[in-house]
Amino acid sequence: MSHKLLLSDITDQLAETANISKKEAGNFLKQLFDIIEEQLVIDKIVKIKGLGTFKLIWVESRRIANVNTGEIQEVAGHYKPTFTPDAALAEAVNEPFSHLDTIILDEESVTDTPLAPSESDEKESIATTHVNDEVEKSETIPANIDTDNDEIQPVRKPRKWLNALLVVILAVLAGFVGYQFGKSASNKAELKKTVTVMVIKKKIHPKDSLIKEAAISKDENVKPSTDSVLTTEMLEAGARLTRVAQKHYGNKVFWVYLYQANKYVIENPNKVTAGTVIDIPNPKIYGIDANNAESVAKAKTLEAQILSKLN
Amino acid sequence: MNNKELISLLAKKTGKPLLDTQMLLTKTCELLGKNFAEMNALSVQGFGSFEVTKKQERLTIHPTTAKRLLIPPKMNLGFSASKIFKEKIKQLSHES
Repeated sequence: MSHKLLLSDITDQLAETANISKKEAGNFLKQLFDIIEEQLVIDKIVKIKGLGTFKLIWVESRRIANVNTGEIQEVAGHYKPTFTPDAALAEAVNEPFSHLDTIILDEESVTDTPLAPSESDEKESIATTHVNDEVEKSETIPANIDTDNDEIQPVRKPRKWLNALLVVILAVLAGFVGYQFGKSASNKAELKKTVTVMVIKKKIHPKDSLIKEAAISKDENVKPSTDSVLTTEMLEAGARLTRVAQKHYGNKVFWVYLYQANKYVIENPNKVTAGTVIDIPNPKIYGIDANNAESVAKAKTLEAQILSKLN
Repeated sequence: MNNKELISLLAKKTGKPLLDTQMLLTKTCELLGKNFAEMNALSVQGFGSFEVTKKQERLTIHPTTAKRLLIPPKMNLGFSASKIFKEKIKQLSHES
């Protein structure tokens, strides 16, 4: 690989392949390059089939500044020899990279707009799981409070938020009454009571908001009931698999899995038709993890495979 | 000057029949092509050198559509004329 050859090496090779003496081959090659040179001077262009075109290009006179002295000099117009390889030869030389094509980068993947929805999606998913945990807690918390305050027990059956509101009111009342009775009592006792009121308030407020969120989260949890398919999505006009992957998996590389899971509806992953309904597979099946470099690398190799198949 | 003229001139100078010259020329081109495909460099004394270079992949922005394009790497066959040849050519005067 990548040897520096001289004309004598080519002479040897030519003598061998054409079955002529080295002297003849050497003479032939010498004449060939002599003629190219000679004819270039006369004709300004020499075309050789299978090799390429040698051409003389006229460079107009121009003024340049000397980098060191800043002196402006005039460069006279002159000819410049150029060589353009034959299309077939250029292709043969470029063989190791010939399968590559210019890629149009998804402009939205660079700007911030697609990232924003994906982030909010993540937040939502976190919030829902978070809420699910705390909904269970919130059901146990009121029981604790009820045992603390005997007065509240009759109000158990109504809705939880009503329950919570009553707890606040009663607690404030209790605090007020306590304040009235504790006029003669020491400041310390008074402080304790206000603290307990505040504690109860704190317990209740998150619970109140949690219940509302729980209602929402329950609706959302209905969809991803099946294990293999997370959800389905209808592709809009101008939709890209990469964008869908970015939205659901946090990295556009994972579009390959979207393509694999939906091969029967997607003919060309580079050009999906609008209105196609695709399944978003559960990331666990393919080991999709945007934060895992290994997972991303795996997707990338798969991507290269798919793209080379298409081309 | 095209291929035909080159062959006839070569035949005249080497004193070989046209067909043989043509055969030799195509063989030479094939040989050169094979060598360049293997990333070999060739330098011809007094004329210049041929060398295969790799052009790195690069990002460009399409001037009219403003789309970002990723141009893949490429192997390019280049030719640089020797100093003697360049000097010879520089002496030529432009006629148009």
